[in-house]
Amino acid sequence: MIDVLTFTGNYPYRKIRVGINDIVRIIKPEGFTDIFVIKFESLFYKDFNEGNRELLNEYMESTWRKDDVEIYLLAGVNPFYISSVNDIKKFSENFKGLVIAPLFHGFNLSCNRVVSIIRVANDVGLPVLILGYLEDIREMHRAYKFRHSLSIEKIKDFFELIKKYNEKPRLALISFPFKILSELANDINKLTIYTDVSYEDVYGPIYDYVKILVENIGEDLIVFASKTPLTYIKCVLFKVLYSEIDEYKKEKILKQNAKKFFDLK
Amino acid sequence: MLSKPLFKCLHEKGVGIIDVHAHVFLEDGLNNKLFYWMNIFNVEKAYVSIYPFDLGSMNPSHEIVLKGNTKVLKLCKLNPRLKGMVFVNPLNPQDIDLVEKFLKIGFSGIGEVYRSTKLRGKIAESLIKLAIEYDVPILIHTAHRLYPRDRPNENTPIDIRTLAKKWPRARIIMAHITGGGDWEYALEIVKDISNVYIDVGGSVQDSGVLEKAVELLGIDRILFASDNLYAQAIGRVESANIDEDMKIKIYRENALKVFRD
Repeated sequence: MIDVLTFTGNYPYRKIRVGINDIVRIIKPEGFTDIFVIKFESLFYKDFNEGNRELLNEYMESTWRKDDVEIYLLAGVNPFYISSVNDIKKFSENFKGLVIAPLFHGFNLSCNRVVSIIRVANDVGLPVLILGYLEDIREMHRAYKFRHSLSIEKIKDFFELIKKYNEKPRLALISFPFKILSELANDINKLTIYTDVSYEDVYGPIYDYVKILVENIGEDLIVFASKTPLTYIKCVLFKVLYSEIDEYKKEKILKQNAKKFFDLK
Repeated sequence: MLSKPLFKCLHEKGVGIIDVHAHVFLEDGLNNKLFYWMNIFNVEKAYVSIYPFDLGSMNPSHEIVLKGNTKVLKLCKLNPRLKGMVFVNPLNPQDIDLVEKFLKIGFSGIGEVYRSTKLRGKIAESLIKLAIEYDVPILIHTAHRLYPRDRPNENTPIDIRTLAKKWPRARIIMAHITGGGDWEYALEIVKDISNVYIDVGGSVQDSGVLEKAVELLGIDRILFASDNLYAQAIGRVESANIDEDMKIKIYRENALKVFRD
């Protein structure tokens, strides 16, 4: 199985401090063989790149290799904190994909610069994950205030910008509320955008929202992201494993779609 | 080789999970779904009240509340694995008699006391006295310091603390610590109130919540609950970094004590 989004580092709002070895220790026993990791600090430092550098160092120094899993690095990128969109190209040397986080880097998703970044990233073979909410909105730290929302209207505007280009970029919406995914299902499908079921309000049995998303979006466009260590991995995993969908669809969600999205051999 | 989930191991030993906070519906199709998932996840017994949103309002009339509880009674008679909890709207004066009527015929507890009003003063007194007289727990819907602000008419951990301190003989279940909101705050507020139990139902998937609950409240005051979200609820217990003995207490043993079963 493949987990397309986990975190290392320090989360500022709860006592969570983990390294790559910890992630492997949590996830491998569930049967995951390929794990994508981003550093929290690349979302919370103003200079996001310091976080990416820390992740690279950690990757070189950690001992996970003996555990027979494959670790892939994701770079957190703030599109408005780089001098040129072409700076994105350098990430293809060490990273397998980019993560942009409008809520945490405080930018508007529906603007041309974001789309330019996505295009350049795709040109050099880097898919882009757009991160929604890290945790249930109701439990956010009260000091936090989002500068821009991730409303349905904003995302629709963003989709309109994406549609202007002939080529469909490899894009994923990760950890978005069920309502947003449901309302945007048609566009998500037309634009071949991947998504996942990690957000809290995407329920499993008995309200089988995973099944509803599969019906609306299709089993080919859903990947598995656990958001470990923010979440208990089995909470997310059981939503898929015990959903009333066919086993081959679960296999796609838990493995095959991620292989395709990240172009893994 | 992947390890077998504890809920399946318990099934092999002939025991199951006890869910202290679940809901049944006016529509039987959804109830059949509930039974189906209770079987899949080895839920031996569920303490159920009517699904509040089936009542059409946060402030349902006495007649609607009666209809909901009557549906629960009917389902409990058909399926002995369901144990009735009396739904009550504290703003309806007649609901107090209704609670007593249903406790007399064998319902196992009061609640979920939902969102029509905060449970305070005379309203609370009548209900709590009944809970003490009939020696049953009372399950109270609680919102745990929501972002960006609390909602009116909804009990908070402070309300639960105040109520429990005033009525130390009552066994109060503070609902769904993992139902949304700041669970760290909620645990802190009730940690030293020994007659407050927490249920770990709801949708929140945060790692660390059970470990923190054990640390602050001790293992004996933590009750398994789904609030009908079994994947998240079971996944939470299965993933928690606590001993298996503790998980078994959460899954069933603590509930047996709280419900005097």
